[in-house]
Formats: sequence, structure tokens, C-alpha cells
Amino acid sequence: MTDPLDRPIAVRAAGVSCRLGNVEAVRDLTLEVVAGDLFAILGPSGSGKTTALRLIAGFEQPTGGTISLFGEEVASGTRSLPPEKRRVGMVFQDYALFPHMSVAENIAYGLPKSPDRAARVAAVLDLTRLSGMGDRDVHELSGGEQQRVALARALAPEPRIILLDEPFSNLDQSLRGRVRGEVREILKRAGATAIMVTHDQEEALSIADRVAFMWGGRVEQVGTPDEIYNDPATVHAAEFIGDANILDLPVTDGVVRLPFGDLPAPEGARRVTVIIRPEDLQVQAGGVFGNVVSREYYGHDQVLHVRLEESGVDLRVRVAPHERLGGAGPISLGLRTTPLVLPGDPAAEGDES
Amino acid sequence: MVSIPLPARSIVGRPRRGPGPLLLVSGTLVALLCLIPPLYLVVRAAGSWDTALDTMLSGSALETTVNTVALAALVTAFAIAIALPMAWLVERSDLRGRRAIGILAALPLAIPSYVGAMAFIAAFGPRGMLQGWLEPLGVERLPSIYGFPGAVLVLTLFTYPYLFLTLRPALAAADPRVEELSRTFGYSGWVTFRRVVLPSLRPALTSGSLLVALYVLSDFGAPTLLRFSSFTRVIFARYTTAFDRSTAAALALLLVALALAVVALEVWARSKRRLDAIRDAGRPAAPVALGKWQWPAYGFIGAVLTLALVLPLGVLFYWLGRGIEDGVAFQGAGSLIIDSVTASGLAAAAAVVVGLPVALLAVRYRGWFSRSVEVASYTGYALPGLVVALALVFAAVRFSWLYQTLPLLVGAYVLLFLPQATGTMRVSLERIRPSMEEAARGLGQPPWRVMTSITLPLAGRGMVAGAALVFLTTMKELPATLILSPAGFHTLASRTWSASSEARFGEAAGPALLLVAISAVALVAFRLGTSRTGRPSRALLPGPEARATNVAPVRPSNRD
Repeated sequence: MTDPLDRPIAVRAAGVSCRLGNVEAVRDLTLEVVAGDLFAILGPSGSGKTTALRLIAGFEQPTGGTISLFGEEVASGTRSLPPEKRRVGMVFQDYALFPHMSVAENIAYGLPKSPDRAARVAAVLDLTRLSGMGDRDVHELSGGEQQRVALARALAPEPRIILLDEPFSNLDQSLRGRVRGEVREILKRAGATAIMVTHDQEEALSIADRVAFMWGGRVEQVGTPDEIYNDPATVHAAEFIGDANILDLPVTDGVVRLPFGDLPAPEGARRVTVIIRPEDLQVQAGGVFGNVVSREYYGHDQVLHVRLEESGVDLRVRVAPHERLGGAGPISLGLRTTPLVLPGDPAAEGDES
Repeated sequence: MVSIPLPARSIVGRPRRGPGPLLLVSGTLVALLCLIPPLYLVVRAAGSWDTALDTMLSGSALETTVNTVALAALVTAFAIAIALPMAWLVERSDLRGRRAIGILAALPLAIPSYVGAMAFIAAFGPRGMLQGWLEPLGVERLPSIYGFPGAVLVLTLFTYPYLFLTLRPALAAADPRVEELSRTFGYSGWVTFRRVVLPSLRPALTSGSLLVALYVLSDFGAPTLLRFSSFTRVIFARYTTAFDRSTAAALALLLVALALAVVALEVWARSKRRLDAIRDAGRPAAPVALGKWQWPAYGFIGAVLTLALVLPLGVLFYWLGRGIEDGVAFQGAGSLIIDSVTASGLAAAAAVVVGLPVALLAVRYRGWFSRSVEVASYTGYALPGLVVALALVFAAVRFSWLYQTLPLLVGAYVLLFLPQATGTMRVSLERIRPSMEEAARGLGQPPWRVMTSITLPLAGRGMVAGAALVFLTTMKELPATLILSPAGFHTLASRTWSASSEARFGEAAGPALLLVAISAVALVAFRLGTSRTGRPSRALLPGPEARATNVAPVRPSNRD
């Protein structure tokens, strides 16, 4: 990967594995995070994403592979720099604010005793829009404010990277959207390199510059949010991120036969998985006939459950909120784009992991 | 067609590493130290096994057992008879002054049983106050306060608060809708109480009763002063007079067996199905209007409080006045206080230091090792104080340089009250999330700095509270103090004891009142503070943060 702006690589993990108890939590993790990026590690719970973060922070030791921060090797299979020597800022899911300290004391905790200390605290308070709250008790703060304190505390010592573990999961649903924007803005203004772990695809796609998708301890795909969504590298990624119709189909004579027409199959594949996003289908005259079985109405759009007439295939189709208000009945469908074809079937891939 | 197969969410949390070498070593040491006394007791009894067996199977041992069990059973029954109506009146009736009564009714706990016994002897004993007042009227003899009836009376009056405090939250928490439902089925208020309320109180009733029974079994002061031959009195007599101390050890083992049976009952009762699991936190029950029944209710409460509070305090103050007149009230008070504070202060500090690894293990590293250390740390707490003291004497015979030294005395206190310190420390340690310590390390602090700037300050309140609790309980401790104190070392408790056992009540009243005041402080700080939060059995834990923690059976804090 080459960065167009020629920024340095902030974090490089090469072939990192980590065993926790009897669980191989992370396997062969290979990642590069460019300085200044907000990088998200996305995956379901148990996928090893938090372990990956803790490996970078130094709270877990890899059983194999190496981790480097700005070219300095901080962990290998044989040695591991303790977290306090890595200059890494961490924002925990529960914020982990020190309850016996005020906001300002929390923020100053990681700063060396020097005359500039108070000024730095004030600057960080200002950056996180907490000015005037320095003397507050952390118990008096709202969830969003507590989170900004945690972020301010992590940013204060000017760490090389900031790590955020599920930073928004403790916030009310209604607050999350706003706080996400704020956090991104604060990180960008601070010029920080940040890695955020989340199981919330919307969170990852909406604020990250790049996203790594993890499944079963492995990184299955790294890319920009639109690459991850529009061009999922694996069935897991397609299923986990966004909504998808997943069809497991045989290959005959090098082609996959879809009700909408034939698609070329990847070379050598005997079965393929075809991924069709519900919004990639549309209602169109003269298309493939089917029947609307049921409907989920969301307001901003709706999802129709359609059973195709000839093939009997069930599909979810996302259409505009005003379309086909009549509900059940015959429908004719077409494709907006060419669907994604991945070799193999999902069951076989699941066994492997 | 569309499915999102997620890996099953792991039930256990993130796997953690085990405890470090420092914790392993200190935990093992604490556990071993805690196990020495009971083991030594067994060794001692087994050393002269024939004598021990003879003692255990002798007629007098049987008689003592019967005495002790009868005492425990009767006291428990009477304590229920007082505590249940009292708790019901305070929680569920419209009686005026309920709140004040609720506090007053718990206060007899602040009177150590030997102080209570002394007050009753001073009031009703031969040549006591009542006798003196009645003599001009021609009354020559009163029914004796000594023996079984006196012991039952005194112990009932000073132990019923354990049941009262256990029953109150249970009554308060009962879902009123269940009772209303019962009424809609046409059952009367009384039938409803018997068929719905009482069964729901069973867990509280059981655990409260067992607390009382355990207290009676291990209480040394009241039976001895009141000359009733329950185990503690007989063991102490054998220890002080008999040539062969192994008979004392043998009897002590019997008492331990009895106490363990009660503890086992308590554990079993706690493990039973929870009956309060489906309650609604919402609306409290509407108080029952007493109408004209309030007068008998006031009469009942007045009688109990008169006997359990007014009378003992009145007697103590009366004798304090007499003692001041005679110039003996504050004899040597300065050195008594110094000795008491020295011993209790050292015990408090030692309990916190020794308790810290136990608490850390229990909170941070759940597993068989932590569990074993914790259970071991409860041994001394579960055993009668007299037995622990005797066991230490037997052990110290081997190391004569230890016998009757301050360190041994302090060690005994630590053994007896260690769980009070670990219990309070656990609560505050549980408030420290591991992520806080990780955050501190991530901010560039090495582990020792994390300890001093985060862990210890956050655990500090719990450590202070634990130390305070141990300090206050130690002040009142009697049997270990009597047996293990260095020569010439006199505490408030031992002076109260020695003066009152020789009927020098004028000398005893001052230290006794001081002890009552200290106990009252402990009670208000640690027990009443939590009784309304609904977990009286956890009441040794301080303040509002006393959450549901897995603390082993709580023993009476008022032991002596």
C-alpha cells in the first residue's frame, strides 16, 4: 500500500497471533495504518478485534509476529514493550475515568510534572470543548462529556496513536450520531492517528478513513468504507456489513445462472456465492416475475420480501417508501448493477475458520 | 435467505492471567496462618487422644452440650418472638414513631453481652439494686438471676436485634400485590400473613436465627458471668483450673463441631432458592392501621426497650455515679484506654495489611486458589473467640517467647476479625475496574505508580472502613483478650470483666459505658447505614456502595 501523500506508517502488524487461555483470539494479523488516519477495526463480538487493539496497546503479548509503531518494533514473539513505554493513548469502552480525580486531574494524569502542564490541560480541554469543566467531578458529567474527558486524557500526552475500544457503545442511541462526528473532528484537529474498534458497521463506515473487517481472529478485508461495502472480499464481510441476499449457486460451463441472466464464474470454481444487496434490485417492467410475500416498512425506505416465480428464490428488495404501497401481489424485478460473485459457498468457508 | 451468522457470544469474559508471584505467596501465607489454630487444636486433642475421647464422651460433656443447645434454641425462639412483631410494627403498621423505634430497637446490639449480663447482675443479683430497694418491704430473696433463666433472658435481649435487622428489609421488600391478591381470594389478613407473608420471610428468619444461635454458642461473657455451664464457661474453667489442658482442647473441638453445624445450616439455607427474586421494586405496602391495637404494641415495645436499653444503661450510669463517689470510677482509665487503643489499633492495621492480598485475590482472580484463601481466612471468624484464643495458647507453648506477648494478642484479633477487613476492602476494590489501571499504564505510568496513584487511593476508603470496623470490634473482644494479654496489659474489656466478676460494679461501669459508646458508633456507622438498603446480612460492609458481594456468612460483629 502506498499513500498518495507519502505519510509514514504509524502501525504495522505483521503475522501477529495471540492466544488467550485456550482461545486463538488473533491469527496472522497483518495491518498497516497510515499516520493521520482514523482506522476502524470492524467485526462481530469474538472476532478478535479488541484483542488486536490490546496487542497494539501492549496489554496483551503476541505469541507470534511483530508489531511496530512508526518503525519501532514494540512487540515480537520474544519481547514486548510494556504499555507505559509505548506512548499510546487508550480510550476504553467504559471510559475508565479515575473517580477520585477531577476532570483536569484526570487529563493531567499522563503529563509529566512541568510548568507547561496546566497550559496543556487547558489546551486539551479547549480542543475537546470541555473548557470550564476542569474542576468538575467526573461523576457530574453526562455520558458524552465523560467520553470527551477520556479522549482528552488520552490525547494530552501527545501519544503516537490513539486507540478507542467500542467508544460509542455506552452512549444513548440518540447521542451516538452527534458524538461520532465530534470525536472524528477532535481527532482530526489534533492530527492524531487513531484506531477504533467497533461491532457497529454504521459507526465504522461513517467516520473511519479506512476499515479492517475481522472475523474469527483474522483480518478478512482492509479498505475504504465504500470498498468494504460495495466490494466485500468475503461472504462474511458481505453478510456482516449491510444487508445482503446471498445465493449459493452451482457453476455450469463456466457460468452462473441467475434468474436475471448468466454471470461469468471465477476460474476453477465449482460453486459460487452471489451477493446481491437489496438496494441493487429494482422494480422494473419486463423483468423477472415474482410475488411480494411481505413487507418491512421503515419510513425512509422499505424492504419487500419477494419470491421469484420460476426459480422460487427468495429475495429482499429495498425500494423507495412510496413504491408499491399495495403490499402483496405480483411484481417484476431487475438488477441495477452486476452482482458480486465469490468462489465457494459460505458453509465451506465457515468450516475453515 | 439472508442470515447473519455471528459467532456465539462467549459466556465467560476475556480470559485473564492468574495472580502474580507476590499475591500467590502472600495469599498462601495468609491461608496457612489462618489454618494454624484449628489444626493445632486438633493436634493438641489428638496428642492425648484417650483423655480427649474420655472427655468428649463423658457425662459432663453431654450435659454441657445439652445446656448449650438448649440455651441456643430457647434464646433463638424468644428472639424471634420479640423481633418478628417488632419488625412488622416498624415496617408494616402505621405506628407513630416507627422510624425512631426502628433505630432504638437495634441499639441493644451496642451493649456487649458481658456488659448486659453485668448490668442485670448488678440490678437483680443478690445484694443488687432491686434487692436493696425491696429489703425494707420485707423481701429477703429474689428469684436468682444466675443460671439458665438469667442466661436466656440476657442473651435474648441482646441478640434479638440480629433477627430484627434481618427481618426488617425482608418485610419491607415483600411485594404488596401478592398480599392484595391473597385478599381478593377471600383470605383474611391473618390468614394472608400466615400463608403468604410468613413463608416469604423464611430466608430472613432462617439466616437471622442462625446468627443468633451462632452468637449464643460462641458467647463467652454472658454465660460465664451468669454462671450457666454452657460450653464456653466450662472450657474456660477447665483451661484456667485443670492441670491437663487437653480436656479444654477436647471440649473446644466439640464446641467447634456445634458451631460448624450451625454455619453449615446457614450456608445451606443461603443456597436455597431465593424467594424474593420476583419482587417489584415499585410501590411499598400500605401500612396497616392499628387502631386501638397500638396501645398493646407500644406496651410491648416499651417493655422490650426498657429491659434491653433503659435498664442496662440506667444501671451503668447509676454505678458510674457510685464509682465516682467512691473515687474508683476512672481508676487507671488512662492506661486502660492506651492499652485498648494500642491493641485495637495494631489489630486494625495488621488486619488491613493481611486482608489486602485476600481481597485482591477474591476480586481480581476468581478461581480455586482465591476461593481457598478466602475460605481459610474465614476460619477464625467462624470459630468462637475463646476457641481461637485457646488454640493460639496451645500453639504458643511451643514458642514460649510468643506466649502472652502483644504480637500474639494482635495475631489473635486478626484471625478473629480478618473477614471484616477483607469484606470492606473487597467492596471498594470491586469499584476499581481493570480498565482504570490499564488506562493509567497507557498514560505512561509504571505498575508501582499505578498502584500508588490509582489502586490504593481508590481502595483507600475501604481500607479505612475495614480498619475502623476491626478497631471497634477489637475494643470489645473479651476471651482472647483475657487469655492472651501480656501480664499487666489491661484493656477496657478486660477491666470491665474483672471488676464485674468481682462485683466491683463502680469500677466496671466507666469502661463498660465507654465500650457501649464505641459499639454504638460502630453500629450506627456500619449496620444501621445499610439496614435500609435491604442487605442486612452484608451489613458489615460500609455505606451505600455495599452491593451484592459474595461474602461468606457474616458473623455477629458484637462477639465478645
